[in-house]
Amino acid sequence: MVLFLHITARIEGRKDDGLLATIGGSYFPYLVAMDDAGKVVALMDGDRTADGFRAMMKSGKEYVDWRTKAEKGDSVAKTEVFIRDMILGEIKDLEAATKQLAAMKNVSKDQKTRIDEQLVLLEVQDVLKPWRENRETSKIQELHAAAGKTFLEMHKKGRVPKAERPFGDFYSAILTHAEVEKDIPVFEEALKLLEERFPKAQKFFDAKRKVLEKLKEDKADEKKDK
Amino acid sequence: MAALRSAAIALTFLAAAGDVLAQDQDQMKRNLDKKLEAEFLKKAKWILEFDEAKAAAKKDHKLIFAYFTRSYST
Repeated sequence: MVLFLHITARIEGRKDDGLLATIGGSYFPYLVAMDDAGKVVALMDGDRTADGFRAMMKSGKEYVDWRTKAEKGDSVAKTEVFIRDMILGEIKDLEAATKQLAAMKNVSKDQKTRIDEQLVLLEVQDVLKPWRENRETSKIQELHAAAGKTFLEMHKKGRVPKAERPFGDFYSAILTHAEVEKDIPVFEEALKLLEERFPKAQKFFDAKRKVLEKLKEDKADEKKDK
Repeated sequence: MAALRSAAIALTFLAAAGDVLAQDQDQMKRNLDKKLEAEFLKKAKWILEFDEAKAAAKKDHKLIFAYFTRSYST
C-alpha cells in the first residue's frame, strides 16, 4: 500500500492544492483508496479505526478485481462495477442510471437490492434538487413540502434511504409537507422516525414538537368552530 | 477634487488589501510547515506529491491509501 498525504493549504499557485475537489471530496478528513491512476476506488465508511482502514483497502482491491473481470466481458462484474461507481458517487443522473441498468444482464438478487438502495438515493437527490437550487426565501417551505409529498409516497412504498444524511433529508421534508398540509399523523410518524435515528438532535425536536402542538391546537379550534 | 480623494482612498484600500493577502499567504505557508511536522508523518513513509504516489502505486502494483486534510483554519 502506498501512503499519500494531501494537505489543502490555500496557497496560491501551489501544485495540486485543489486536488480534493478534483476527486469529488468536499470535507475533511477525507480518506479514500485510489488506484494507480488516481481514481477513487473505495471510500472510508464508518469509524476511522485500523479495521475500518483495512475494510476500505479491501473494498478498493475488490473494485479493481471486478473492473478487470468487467473489462474481459464478465456481465456480473460489469454490474458490480456499476453498483460500486454509484456508491462512489460517480453516477449522478437517475434517468441515465435507470436506462443503463435496464440493459444489464445476469443481475443477481443481492445486486438488485443494492442497486435499488442506490437508486433510492439518486431519487432523493433528484427530488430535492429544486429546493436545494432555489435562491428565493419565499419559496423554501413550498419547495421543501413538495419534495416531502413525493417522499411520503416513496415511504409508503418502502423506498426509504438508509444512509444517515439522506434519511434525515427525506423525513425532514416529509415533516414540512405534513406541517403545510396539517397532517398530524404523518407529522407524528416522521418525527418519531427522526427521533429514533437522531436522538441527540433535541433542539430540532423541541422546535418540531412545538409545531406539532400548534397543529393539534388548530385542529381542536376547527372542531369547536364546527 | 472629491473624485481624486475617492480614487486615493480606493488605491490605499487596494494596497492594504494586497498587504493582508500577502500576510495571509505567509501565514498559510507557516500553517502548512507546521502541519508537516505532525508526529504521524515520521512513523511511516508518506508521499506528499500526487504524481509520485501514482507512480509508486503503478511500480509496485499497489493501491494508494489517500488521506486528505487541511492546514488552514476556517
